[in-house]
Amino acid sequence: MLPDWVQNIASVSSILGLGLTVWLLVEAKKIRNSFLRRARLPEVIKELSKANNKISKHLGNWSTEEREGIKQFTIAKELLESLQQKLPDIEKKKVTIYTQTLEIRRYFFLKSTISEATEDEAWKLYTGLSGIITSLNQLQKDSRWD
Amino acid sequence: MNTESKTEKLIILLTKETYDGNVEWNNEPVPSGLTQGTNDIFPLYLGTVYKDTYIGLFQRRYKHFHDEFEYSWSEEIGMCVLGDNEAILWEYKERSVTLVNLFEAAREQASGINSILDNLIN
Repeated sequence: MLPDWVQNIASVSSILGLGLTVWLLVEAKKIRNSFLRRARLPEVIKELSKANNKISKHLGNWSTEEREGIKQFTIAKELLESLQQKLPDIEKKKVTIYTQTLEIRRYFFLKSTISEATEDEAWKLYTGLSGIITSLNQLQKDSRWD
Repeated sequence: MNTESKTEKLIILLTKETYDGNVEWNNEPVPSGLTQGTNDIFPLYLGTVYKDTYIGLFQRRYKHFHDEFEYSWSEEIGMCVLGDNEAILWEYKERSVTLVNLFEAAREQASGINSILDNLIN
């Protein structure tokens, strides 16, 4: 039978070990996300910029090109959602808020992407998407120093 | 709101005004404030007056030096505000998707490419 003080040290060490394991898991996840981000971010930014450029052109004739414009917003939403989990908290929050503006909810749980938008709404969505791309560009610059 | 955010807001506003036909862009000579003392090439310069302010958009090709002698050509799109005697009061050259979109909208309008294509296909 071990003395009490040895058992106490063992218990405290176990708790500390558990804490350390959790901390290491969180850090490992951050490093994994950082690597994934560095690999995927340039490609996603390029695709998002392409969609943004097409949206801008469709905005010039929104009354006749609404469907094509909405299609590009849908592409942008899919791209952002694929990136979402790999982003740091601040950017993740911005992307979540933006993608929610591109969703319509039915019966609280059924979600689908917007199927129509007035010209003014489309300009607001375009402004939002441009802001997100600017944030992602800044993140890409910062990632070089990770 | 910082200067960059305000600029992005202005760029989107100018894009909308360009599409609505409220802003007219013209192909103009490059102001000396941009060209003097550089070897840069400006394939296109577009200017307009918006709310009594002269705004210019330009495409610039410049030498990007890797070391003392080796270089490659790079390209950028920029926006500037002009003062008297073609002085560049302010210049915005950040890599910005909205600025590229504005430049393309302005170029399309200034070139009249839509009516040229309509004439050719009709």
